Amino acid sequence: MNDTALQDQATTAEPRPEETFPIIETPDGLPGFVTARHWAIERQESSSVFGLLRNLDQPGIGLLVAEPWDLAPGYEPDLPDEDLARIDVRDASDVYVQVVATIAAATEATPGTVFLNLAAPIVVNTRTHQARQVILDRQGWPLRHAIALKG
Amino acid sequence: MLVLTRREGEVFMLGDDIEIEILDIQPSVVRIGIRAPRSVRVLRSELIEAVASANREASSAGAVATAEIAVEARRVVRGE
Repeated sequence: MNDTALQDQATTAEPRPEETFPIIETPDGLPGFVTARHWAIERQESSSVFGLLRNLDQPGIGLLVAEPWDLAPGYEPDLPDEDLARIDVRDASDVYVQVVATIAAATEATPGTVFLNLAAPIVVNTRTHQARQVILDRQGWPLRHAIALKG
Repeated sequence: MLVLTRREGEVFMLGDDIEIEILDIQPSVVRIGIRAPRSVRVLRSELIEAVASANREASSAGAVATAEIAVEARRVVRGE
């Protein structure tokens, strides 16, 4: 049913992210956006640590995402089997992990600070391009982890 | 909503393979034991709501951004 939304986008004249970035499908949506199914991660360069996870069904929904490993050394999420099964992960090499990042606005106490949501990583199956935001309960990873600035 | 009254130590089943036991009752806290297959995900609702709310906030900040914000974020984090 969401194919319709994608087709509508495909008929517009502007360049679409799905032309250059693979479409990622979230069969169960994401918490807060339960009906959002199709996404693309836009990156400035393929090696960029940060990207924009843009929803292709509803304009205006987009999340800044980041590769967590270098930004949060020691981050070792334990991804439950049942969550991985929902996106048909069969092998650890299928898994690609991104976390939602936020940047504190100028009005906040520490403007410019980048926070990572380590409590709910977005797990992408690189084989099927299905994804799921996995909520890690009782693992102690924070919802808002401030990144220590380098240098 | 189905409402059941159960005493401490009593158990009820959800379907054939999910067992819920009332372990301990105190004035404002109930301890509940859940025995379920691994395929059943058990999460506290407030945790799901916290993630949903964090996503909505992140989107209201991120949706207007283009990929340039990613470059900016990288610059900020690396202290360049």
